[in-house]
Amino acid sequence: MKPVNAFLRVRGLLGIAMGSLMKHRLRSLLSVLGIICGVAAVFAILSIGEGAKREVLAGISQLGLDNIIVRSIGSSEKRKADMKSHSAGLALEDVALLSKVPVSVKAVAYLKDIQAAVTGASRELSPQLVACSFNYLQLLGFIPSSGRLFVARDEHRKNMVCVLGATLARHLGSFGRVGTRLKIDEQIYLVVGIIQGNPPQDRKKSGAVVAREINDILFIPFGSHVYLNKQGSFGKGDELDEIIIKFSGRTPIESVLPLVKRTLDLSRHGVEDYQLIVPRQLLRQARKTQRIFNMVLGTIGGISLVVGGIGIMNVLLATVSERTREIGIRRAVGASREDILAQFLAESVLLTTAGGVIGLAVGVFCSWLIARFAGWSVAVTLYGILVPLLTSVAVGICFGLFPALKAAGMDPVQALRSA
Amino acid sequence: MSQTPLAKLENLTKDFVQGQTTVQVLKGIDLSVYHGDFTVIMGSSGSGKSTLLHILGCLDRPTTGTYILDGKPVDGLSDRRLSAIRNSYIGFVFQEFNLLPEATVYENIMLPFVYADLDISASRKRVLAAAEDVGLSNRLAHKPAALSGGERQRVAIARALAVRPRLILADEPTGNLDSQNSREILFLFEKLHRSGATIVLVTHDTEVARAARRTLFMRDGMLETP
Ligand SMILES: Nc1ncnc2c1ncn2[C@@H]1O[C@H](COP(=O)(O)OP(=O)(O)OP(=O)(O)O)[C@@H](O)[C@H]1O
Ligand SMILES: [Mg+2]
Repeated sequence: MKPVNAFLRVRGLLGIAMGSLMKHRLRSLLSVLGIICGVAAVFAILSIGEGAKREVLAGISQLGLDNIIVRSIGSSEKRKADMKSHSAGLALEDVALLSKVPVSVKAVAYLKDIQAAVTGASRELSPQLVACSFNYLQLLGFIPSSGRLFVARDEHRKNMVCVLGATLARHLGSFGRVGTRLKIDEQIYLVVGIIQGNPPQDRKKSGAVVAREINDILFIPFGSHVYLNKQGSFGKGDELDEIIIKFSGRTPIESVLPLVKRTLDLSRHGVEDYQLIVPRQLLRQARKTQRIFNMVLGTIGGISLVVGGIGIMNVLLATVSERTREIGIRRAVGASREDILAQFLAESVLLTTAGGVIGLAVGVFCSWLIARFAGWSVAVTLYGILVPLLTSVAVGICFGLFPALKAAGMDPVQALRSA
Repeated sequence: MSQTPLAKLENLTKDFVQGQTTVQVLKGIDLSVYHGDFTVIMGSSGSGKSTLLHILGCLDRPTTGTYILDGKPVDGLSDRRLSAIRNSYIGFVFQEFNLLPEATVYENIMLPFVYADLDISASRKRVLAAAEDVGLSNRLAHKPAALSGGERQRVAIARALAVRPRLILADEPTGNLDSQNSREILFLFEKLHRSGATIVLVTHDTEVARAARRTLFMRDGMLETP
């Protein structure tokens, strides 16, 4: 057959298939309902899964993949009761020890959570306050969107300066600008910089993730917090909440982990009042969880597509026996078995593909609803579109094959005799 | 008239197996159909006329015997080849019209071209010409349900002759029609015959039979010349 004719034949085939589907619009629609639901479900699952994954990964990579984070456990009151005799919690001595660990430590940063009230223009805010070592923000890779970050001098001299997260700066209005002065408790701090954390989305739902919401935080240099009301009075002003150790790029984090642990344990007589967070491990775990999530939900989506396919097959089988005479007529005027097979397969694939497209539209709508009202983040990928679409084409071929074979195998004379 | 027959059957039999019993419907048919022939086959109901026509039209295969169409044996050809032969060599006309009810007159006449290797514009020309021949040019957009029995049969004839077949096979084409419509259809076949078509026509109607050059009788699976 010449290619032109092959093309014409395929086009003719689609025309025939389309015509007979349009003739039974309601039936066609009902028969693809299963496919529509299946595709919509698979699409929604994939895009929600992708959204969750991106959220988690963004959160984790904000922690820094070359970092190990040491975080102190429990409230300091509880620790005082239980462990005071053995350990003083995380302290600057630990920072000094960790800096001397004989592996490629690039930098060690630390911070302390502070309770204090900030007075802006008219209203009093109580944002998260963090006293951090001067290198903390650089270490996490932040670049100021205006002004500057802290420098070593700020920490040494206990300079009363601060850096604002972008969201907080917006809330502070005219006070949230570089060069203005903010009242923190009874002290005056100069705003020297503003930072914009990325991505600027709400990350609170992904509970396991330990990244801070940078945009909401007010940073002051470590040391300058002793001037604030509620600090220093306990004499525990230098107890740390977090130490971040940054290793050089190619360091195998897992292998230095025991060393870090031993260093920390040395000074605290085996009391585990800290927790080690290894972002790279978290990342690996998150990826694994994600794969399992995809597999489980993908299987469920797949099952619903198979159920949809059975619905299609059912309808097609009925159609074939209903159209026996048509098959006979077509055979009499020169249709071969392959022509009949191709016709019914084309109808099936057209049906499921249309179902797939409608299902995608429904899936997009559902994802949008979920993103809008449940507040989950949703991400659409090419993969998330292609997988359900190709699956619906495959379902059309697989479940259309048996009815199409049945149609093609009919004896033409018998088919013509049928009522 | 050419010396070699267009269709030649030799000692042809056809058995139908139904459960345990085998019914021999055709019991050794010898038949030659020449170009330009108008052959009528008559015979009682159940004598095997339709079965013979189906075999002539490559819609069914004989159990034994040979069928030579246009000098080439048809036995053992693949379904694809037989379908191509039906498509380009054969035009069927049935008692029950056998039109697609959801398709228009035009689409019905177009149906064989769906399976032919002919480009669209040439196909369209032939469809229009065939509709013209049967006098239905003004009904092309109608569906069969909107037509009378005679008109429906004319659509079926147009569909059969549009592909310019070598052999037109008609199985009781007037069986479902009143005498007025029967006469019109018969007139059409005579016109086709005059223009050189080769026709094999099965009928119960003696008036139809009178129009033919040659009438054969089918009796109990055998062909008899009166
Ligand atoms: N598939 C089949 N299985 C069994 N018997 C069959 C089959 N097809 C036809 N027959 C039998 O073959 C015989 C001939 O059938 P055929 O249709 O050829 O008769 P006919 O001469 O065309 O009759 P009519 O004038 O009523 O149309 C009948 O007795 C019929 O019952
Ligand atoms: Mg018959």
